[in-house]
Amino acid sequence: MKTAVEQRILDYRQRRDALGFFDLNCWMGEPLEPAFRTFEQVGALKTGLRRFGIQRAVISHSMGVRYDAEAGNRELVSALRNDDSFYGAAILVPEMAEARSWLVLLRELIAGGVRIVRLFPSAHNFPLVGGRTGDLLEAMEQLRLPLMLWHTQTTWRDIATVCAEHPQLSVIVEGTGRKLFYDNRTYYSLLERLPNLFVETHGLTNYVGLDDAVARFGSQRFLFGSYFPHLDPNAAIMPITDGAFSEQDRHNIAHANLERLLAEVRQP
Amino acid sequence: MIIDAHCHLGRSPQFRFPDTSVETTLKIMDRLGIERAICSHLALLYGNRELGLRESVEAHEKSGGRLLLYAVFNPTQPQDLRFVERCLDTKGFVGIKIHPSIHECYPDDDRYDAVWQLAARRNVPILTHSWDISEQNPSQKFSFPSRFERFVAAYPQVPLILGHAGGRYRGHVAATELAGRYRNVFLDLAGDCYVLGLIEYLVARVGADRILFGSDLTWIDARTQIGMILDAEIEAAAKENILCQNARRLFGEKWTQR
Repeated sequence: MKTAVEQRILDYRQRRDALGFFDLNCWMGEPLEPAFRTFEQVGALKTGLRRFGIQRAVISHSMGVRYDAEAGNRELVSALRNDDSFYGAAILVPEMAEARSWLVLLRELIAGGVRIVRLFPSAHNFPLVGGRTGDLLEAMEQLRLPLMLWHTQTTWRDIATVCAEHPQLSVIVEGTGRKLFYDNRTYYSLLERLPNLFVETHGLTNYVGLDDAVARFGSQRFLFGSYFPHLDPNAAIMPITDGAFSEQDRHNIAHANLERLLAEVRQP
Repeated sequence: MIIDAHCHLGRSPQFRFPDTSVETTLKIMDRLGIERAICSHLALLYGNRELGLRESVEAHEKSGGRLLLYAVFNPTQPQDLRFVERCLDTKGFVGIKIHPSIHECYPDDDRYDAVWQLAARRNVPILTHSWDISEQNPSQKFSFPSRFERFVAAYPQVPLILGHAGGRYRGHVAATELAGRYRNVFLDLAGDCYVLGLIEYLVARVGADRILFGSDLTWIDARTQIGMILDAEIEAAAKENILCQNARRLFGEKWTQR
């Protein structure tokens, strides 16, 4: 006979595992923040994710943020080899297109398992709008390769400009540091008018925040991400397993929206 | 059954609060199996005393006693002590909340002594905000866990709940160090404190009998912490303690008396 708590644990894990979470926001390499647990190598990372019922993920490499984007991408692509369940989020900086065109570089990355591009305009000191970044965004638009940004690495004004100037580019916002939901007055107004803007959910932890956002904008605009292994995935998972929305919405956020975006990426 | 030891009523001007009605709070509590929630009204924290008191009492009554209340003490307003006493004489109030970051007063400041004396006299716990030092939010320096030691040591009969268990990594470490030295220190899990392995770390360092579930509702979604607790790598009995029994032991007698 199970106690009430034991039954609740079982029910929660069953609901979670049945949803087949596909995590948009996982990191390998040295942790970006102090941590009680680390999973620096990709094998350990994948095992760690499965412990939380996450079978598929998009992985970024912290080396690309903290040291060198090109070296980080090399490590990432090497780690992704021979695994159909894990994809990469490459980190790019403007000078990467000096030796070859963005299209050539992006096609190589896609062939290596990359399906998302991340930019860190603030940390890496370049403008998100204009210059070589504009050429990059055009190439990404052409290849339907989504862009992922931390809200703390740019301005909402620039995010809005990118969405408006590149309507075929899917722009996904998330972020660490300052709480994402503190900006909800701003991103609510942008979600209303920019159909290519999406929000990764690990920062939408304000009280009934995800329920409210889904009711207003539809579940298609939100994608599950955990920021693992920095954060406990359950914090982002239970607002979805127990969200006040339909089963279809639950599946959309847990995995289907990301599957759809990644399926649109043009293969070489 | 769950008891949420760290909640709010009302809202803050910082961002859009989707719905802070008592009806929605009760609906969420029903859905998540939260029997009782102990709340400090944000209007009290931000100095709107009469509005905060009136709405706190209304919420308590409307909820049939499920929403319990913290009085709020602001050390920079010495007359607040009489207001806190008035709150504690009012049905539904079971503890005192302090927030050194909002009130910008270090917790070892002399001006807090009066509220510790009052808590000892009235036999009620104190809940405090606690956090790590933060570049993004400089006022968090007022709530670093080690700064609470002076009064924790001076009033061993008063339970102090370090809300958010220190907030971020270095704060968590400091919170467990303080709790390791003083049995009257408790930690709660409220807020967006989701660092991987946090619950296992706190339980290993402090023990499951001094950790409380808190959500920070109406600020933060309670499902975020409940998911972490349910799936944590600790015994089911420890989860039962965190979710319910520790708060029942700390507050239970008070809410049946009041």
